[in-house]
Amino acid sequence: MSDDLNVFCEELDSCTGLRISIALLRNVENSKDVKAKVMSGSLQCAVIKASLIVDPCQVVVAANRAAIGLSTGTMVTRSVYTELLFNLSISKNISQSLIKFGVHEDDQDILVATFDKQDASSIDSVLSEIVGRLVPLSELRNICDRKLVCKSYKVGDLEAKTTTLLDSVVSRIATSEFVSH
Amino acid sequence: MSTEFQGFELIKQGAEGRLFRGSYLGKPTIVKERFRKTYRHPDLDDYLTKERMKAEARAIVRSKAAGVRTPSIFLVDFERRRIYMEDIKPSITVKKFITDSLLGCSGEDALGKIKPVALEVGSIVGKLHAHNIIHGDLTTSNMLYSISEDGQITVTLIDFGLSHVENSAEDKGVDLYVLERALLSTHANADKLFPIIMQSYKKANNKDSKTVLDKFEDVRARGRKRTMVG
Ligand SMILES: Nc1ncnc2c1ncn2[C@@H]1O[C@H](COP(=O)(O)OP(=O)(O)OP(=O)(O)O)[C@@H](O)[C@H]1O
Ligand SMILES: [Mg+2]
Repeated sequence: MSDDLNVFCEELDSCTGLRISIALLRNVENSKDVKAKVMSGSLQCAVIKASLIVDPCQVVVAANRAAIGLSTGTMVTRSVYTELLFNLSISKNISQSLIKFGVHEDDQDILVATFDKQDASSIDSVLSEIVGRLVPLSELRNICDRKLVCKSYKVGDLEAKTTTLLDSVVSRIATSEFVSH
Repeated sequence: MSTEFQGFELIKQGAEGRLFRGSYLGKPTIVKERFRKTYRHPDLDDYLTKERMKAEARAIVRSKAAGVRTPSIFLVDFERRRIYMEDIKPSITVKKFITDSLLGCSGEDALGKIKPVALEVGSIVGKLHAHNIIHGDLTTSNMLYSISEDGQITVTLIDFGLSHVENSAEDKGVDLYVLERALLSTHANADKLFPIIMQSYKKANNKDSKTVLDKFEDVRARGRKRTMVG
């Protein structure tokens, strides 16, 4: 587990034996480098476009599905990290999902997530490779583009009046295989 | 199959499955687990259970889109036959809310207290039906009442285990009939409640309330006949 108070940790389904660690960075200067290292596999983590994230719970629910996929051998992408990005999306198109939720070269607000065994966490070593400002996850409030989230998850006005955006989003993530919108 | 799983408490053992309460992914969670039916071929049973679970989760998500509060879904696990969903709390069933309200006060006062909730119930059922969502088990135990600090009332609909999406006036009529029966069987003064529910139902389901009400009357008449014969 990371000692940094800005790192959010959550235990995933007990059948996976995994936990997820999540950190938020702003003013990131080397997104291009980071992305290249993630793609080549030299950096083991998921880097997520922060503007599409309402709350860490959204990442946790998608990560949990990815981790269960890993432990049951039912993943549809190559690694648990791409599986996390794919699960964040309600689209069935893998490459589009990875592009949409992944980080772009000029993105400055990024969310980093690592899967870890109960005892150790690899997020600190990943964070040391990123040039940016580590901030509390509560800052998502100012970063999240709620309009874009509604559009990406197809949340209409009628729903937004009675249901929180986080509820709408996690419930879609959990059911995206068999519910179309 | 294990009877318990870590950190969860069994809260209900039904004919179709079991309900657990606990914490999952850091959230208060209810787990609904379906039994295997040993009289069925295992493959057929897996298939039917999977389809049922899909229909249930689909109706929960579609209800949100229709503007009706339902629990968040965290995980649908076909392998373990479980739906992990938000535990709505603090809440009590609408059934308990009505019973408690009637216990505490005189008829008039109780009705005044229940009326806003009855209007809300009518409104959510109307919204469901306007979007062709049939609940399938529309009792007051399947509605959860909560009130926020500033007095805002919320009714959350649960238990979509028998629901489906279809534009059927007949099925909508049956939903209303089930609701009326549920009210009459538990609450002595319920004859005053159903008209209030219908008032807001019609507003929320303007589109086909006339056809649905005709069907509802048919279903009611058949029900009456059945009770007279049986
Ligand atoms: N998401 C939830 N949040 C809070 N309480 C819940 C939730 N789901 C179920 N409950 C509680 O558990 C009870 C039974 O749940 P549910 O109706 O889903 O199961 P069931 O097996 O169909 O029960 P029944 O046969 O009584 O309808 C509810 O009446 C309610 O009190
Ligand atoms: Mg029920």
